[in-house]
Amino acid sequence: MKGLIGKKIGMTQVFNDEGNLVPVTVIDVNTCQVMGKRTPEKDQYSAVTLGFGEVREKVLTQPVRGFFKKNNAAPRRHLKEFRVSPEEAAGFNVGDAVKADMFAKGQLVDITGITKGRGFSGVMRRWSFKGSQTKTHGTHEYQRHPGAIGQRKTPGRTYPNKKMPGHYGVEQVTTQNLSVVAVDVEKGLVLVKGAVPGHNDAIVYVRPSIKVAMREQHKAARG
Amino acid sequence: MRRDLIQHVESKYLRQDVTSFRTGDSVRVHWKVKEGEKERVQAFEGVVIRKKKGQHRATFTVRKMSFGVGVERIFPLHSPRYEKIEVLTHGDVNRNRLFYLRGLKGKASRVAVQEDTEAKAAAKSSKGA
Repeated sequence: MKGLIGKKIGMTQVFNDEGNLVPVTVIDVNTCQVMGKRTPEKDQYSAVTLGFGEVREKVLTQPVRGFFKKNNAAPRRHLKEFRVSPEEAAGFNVGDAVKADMFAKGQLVDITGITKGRGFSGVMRRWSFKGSQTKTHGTHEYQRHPGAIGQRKTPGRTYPNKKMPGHYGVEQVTTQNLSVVAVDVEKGLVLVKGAVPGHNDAIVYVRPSIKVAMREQHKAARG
Repeated sequence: MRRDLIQHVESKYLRQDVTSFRTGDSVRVHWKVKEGEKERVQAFEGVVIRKKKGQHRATFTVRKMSFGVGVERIFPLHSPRYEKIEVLTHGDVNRNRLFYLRGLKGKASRVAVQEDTEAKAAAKSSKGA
């Protein structure tokens, strides 16, 4: 299985096995359930659709209600497809709860989320520009400016993709290789070391690390 | 609900056997030190000059003089890495944070000991042994 849908609860610190305090993000994956499946015969690819978060049926549109009815599953607020091999998909039936024990302590995971919105931001926040290096010697109203944005007559234009002020945040970001510090199956919690994209209560996708998987693939290919 | 879940996580990391002591007390912290494969216990003895609150994040600072140099060490109160905290004497102080000790040397830097509690502590430790 290739992942879970979760809710970012917030950050705290816990003691690890060595007795050192490590920063962790708590992710709630309590209501993850298999809602449907994609099969190569019907859809040309294989995937498992997971649902997360409870929702009243009343607030759903008829087509969405129909999807849940067809699969005979309780309605869920968030749906997400995870691509898996057909063999792996065989192990999952519609209606099955997917638990936090999919992940083990020490495993590396990738976490995808939507980052916090920062509105229209200047270059210092958006691109980590350094800003003006002096506040005195006649400098005024220039402390957070971007400086020069090009050359002279040649080329006579600003290059495309030049880092400038603009809208920042509210974009999908994946943080790779976060290690799982603890798993609480009973409460449906996963604790990962470090920060995770998004605000508290944001929906995040937790997947096994792709880099670890690739490394293993290369190893297998080399024999 | 958010707070509940975080608290649930944090509650697992609380030590149940936390010794009660106050700032001004002299304590001996039996800190476990890992040297390669082996683990041994190293004692750090001094005066508690600060206690910080905060669930399992609570810490306390112990100050001692080592070969004429002041040494301060911050210990997490709920750290699994100390064996025990021994309270040697109870100090008679008028502050919650004893940072003024940093500026004092020799005899002046001593903390007055509460007399009645000293006897109590002695009785307690003899019982424990």
